[in-house]
Formats: sequence, C-alpha cells, structure tokens
Amino acid sequence: MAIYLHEIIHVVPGREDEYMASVLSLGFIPARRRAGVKHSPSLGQFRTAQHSGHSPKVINIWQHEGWNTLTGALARQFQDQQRDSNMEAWWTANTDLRRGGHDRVLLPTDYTRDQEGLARDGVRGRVFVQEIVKLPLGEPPGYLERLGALQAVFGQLGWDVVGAYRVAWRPREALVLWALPDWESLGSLHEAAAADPRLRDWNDYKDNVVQDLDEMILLPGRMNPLALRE
Amino acid sequence: MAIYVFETIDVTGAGRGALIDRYQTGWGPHLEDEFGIRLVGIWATGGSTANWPEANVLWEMDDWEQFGRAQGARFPLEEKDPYGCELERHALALRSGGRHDLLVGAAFCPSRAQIRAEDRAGPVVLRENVRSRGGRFPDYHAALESDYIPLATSRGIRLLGAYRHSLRPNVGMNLWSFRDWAHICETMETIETDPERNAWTAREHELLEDTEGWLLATPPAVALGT
Repeated sequence: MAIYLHEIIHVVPGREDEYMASVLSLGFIPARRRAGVKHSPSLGQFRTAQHSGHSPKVINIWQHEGWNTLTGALARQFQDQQRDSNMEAWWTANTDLRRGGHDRVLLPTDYTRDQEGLARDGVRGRVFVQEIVKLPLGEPPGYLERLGALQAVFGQLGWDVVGAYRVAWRPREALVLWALPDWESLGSLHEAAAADPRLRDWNDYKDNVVQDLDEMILLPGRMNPLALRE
Repeated sequence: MAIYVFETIDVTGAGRGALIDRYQTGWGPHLEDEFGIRLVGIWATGGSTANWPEANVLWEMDDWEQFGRAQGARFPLEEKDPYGCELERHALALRSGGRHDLLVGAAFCPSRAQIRAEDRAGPVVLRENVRSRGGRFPDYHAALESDYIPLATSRGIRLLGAYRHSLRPNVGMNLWSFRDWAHICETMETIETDPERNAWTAREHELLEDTEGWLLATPPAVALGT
C-alpha cells in the first residue's frame, strides 16, 4: 500500500518558486541517480494562497511505495555507512530558501487514489483546499468514512477529493485535500450547504466533533501534475 | 524518583550536526563533571515525521534535592558558570529557540545506568507526547506498566523512558527504542492487524485525551549535514 510523506515548509518570503524547483531537483542530482538512490515521486506541490494563516508556506506530498522506502530514506540520512551525502550537500546549499517545516506520514483511506489513479481519472485543479482536522481519539476513521460517502455530493459542487488520510502516530488527526476547478467553486460548497440536507448533516457532525481545524487554500506549483492549466 | 529535563531545540539552517556535537563534547561532560547532571541521550528529529530541523536532549538528575542543588550552582550562568556562558554563546548561531520540559520519571522508568547496562538504546526512538483524561494519569502509567510494556517488549520495542510532566497536570512523555529502521518498517506494516496492539489502542482511548508521536534518530558518528 502506498503511503505519503506530507511536508509543510516555512519558506523565505518571495522564494516559493525557487524552493519548489530546488526540492524537485533532488530527484535529478546525477550523483544520487548514479548511486541508485530512488527518489519517491511528487504527488503534488503547492504554495499557500493569501487566505491560509501564516504565510508563506509550501506543501510537498511525496508518494512512497510503502514503509520500506520511507524508512530507507530516513536510514540513509542518519547512518554512517551509505549516508546520502548528496542530499546533505543539497540541504546545506539551500538554507537561504527555507527556515524549517513540519512533516507527517499519511495513511490513505480506501477511496483515496494514488498518483496513477488521479492521473487516470483526470483529477486536477486550479485551486486546492487542504484541511488538517483534530478530532477526539478514535474518531478519524469514522470521520473519513462519512466524508467518503459524500464524495458525489462534493463532486457536483466542483470539489474533487484528491486524498483523505489518517496520520501515522497522530491518531487524532485527519488530512483531506480537495481539487477545485476555479476560485468560484470555493464558495459553492458554502452556498449549497444550507439547502442540501446531506451537507447540513455533514456540517452538524463536523461542528460536534472537530476540535481544531487548520484549513489552507493552496495554489499548484509550476510542475505540479495535479495543476489544471489553461 | 529521578528528575529529567527534556530539551526540544529549533535548529537554524544546517546547524544540527554542529549543535549535536556541542552537546556531546561540551555540555554533556561539563554538566556531569561540574553539576552531576547526566546526559541520557541526544537525538535528531526524524524530519519526515515532525518538525525539522530539530534536536532533542534528555538530562537526568537523582531527585528534586539534586535538581535544586545543581540549578542553584549553575544559575545565573553569568555569575556562576563561565564555560556554560561560552557554550551558550557559541550555540547562538545554531539554534533559534525551543522548549524545556521538566519531567518526573515513573517508578518503572529506566535510569541512564540501566539503559546502558541493558543496552536498551537503539538507533531509532519513538517519542510520544501524551495527555490523559482529567485525573487519569496514574491509571495510564499503571496500564502502561502492566499491559503495554510486556507487549512492546515481546515485539522487540524497549522502553527508554516514561515520564509525567512536573508542572502540567495530566501530561507526560514516553520514549520507545527500536532496533533499526527496518524494525520501524516491520512495526508499522503490521500494527493495525495486530489484535493485541489494537486492544492496547482501545485501552489508550479510555485513558487518554491525546497522544501524538514522532521519530527521533541517534546521530551518526560523523556529524549530520542536515
């Protein structure tokens, strides 16, 4: 089963594009490729729009084949033998682009599509919404299941689920990423909520169980495969 | 009851390797030689699982009496500890801030001497921050000792530390040691289909309001470049 590395990076203001290109370059460093280091593919790369709390931030989501590739990458970082010195050189050379970040390991729901599935189904957007939800212990699986059952309702309003995930070692969290075709669709869900009993039920449930919510509106990076272009 | 200070340090730029080296070669021997404060461990946060760049340091003292004596002998640094001032000054470029948590070890928490004697410390550590339901922290620690430690041990996971926060009610921290990164992989691939582990998760939900964890890595011999 694929798992995902999700990174929120605090970028130096004005250098979001440079940072995004720089981090993607990690997969193309000749010495790393020759050494056989397999770089996990980018599921998507985003920067925050001006409606997303503290800014600027960049979001990277990397798809891993499984725990073995993720722990393999960590092992190469922290061991003496076969250290990934090329990655360290990249890190040191780019400290002027970023200040730090916060990462999560995401565990996909059954209805979450991997990179191939998203491409096959043409899931793309010009605007993305990311919700990081804190719920009571034990609630995230039920929350994500209810959300999954409403996918068709959201889809009619232009909100396509890119992925809905639990978070490893953080059993109170759930993370949901949506793709929207345009800015106008951002309001459609809110406008429809009052009239549609299924959305009213969903919002009532959310009002009761959500203890904290970090919502970010995201714009796709230049090389984001999920970006919908003109 | 041993007293612990856990430092979580926000590192600047690519300074993590140098900062960790300062702790290992500077603060560690200095605080133990001069004040009897023992360095239990130092770890880099595994960046894919939490904040980065970040370092973590754990100090041990015998009891509150030794804690008070050591702090009184150390602070204010500017009046009592010239080498401590020097170490602080040299670290300014390497860290931007952080937090210290003052912790009390559980009765079943291994001391540094025990960790070393039993060779408990592996290259990867799971740090868990926990918050119990109101007033249930003693019950949580009792369950941890009677239910989870035997289960974890049977899966090769060893307790490095179990603490309650000395100042914040219902708050604590656990440290669990893994053999290697492959052990993390094996654990995470099977954790949700392990019925005994699921029973412990259900028990945790009865006792806790919150738990969140992330991975710490023992630094390699050659200083980290990240």
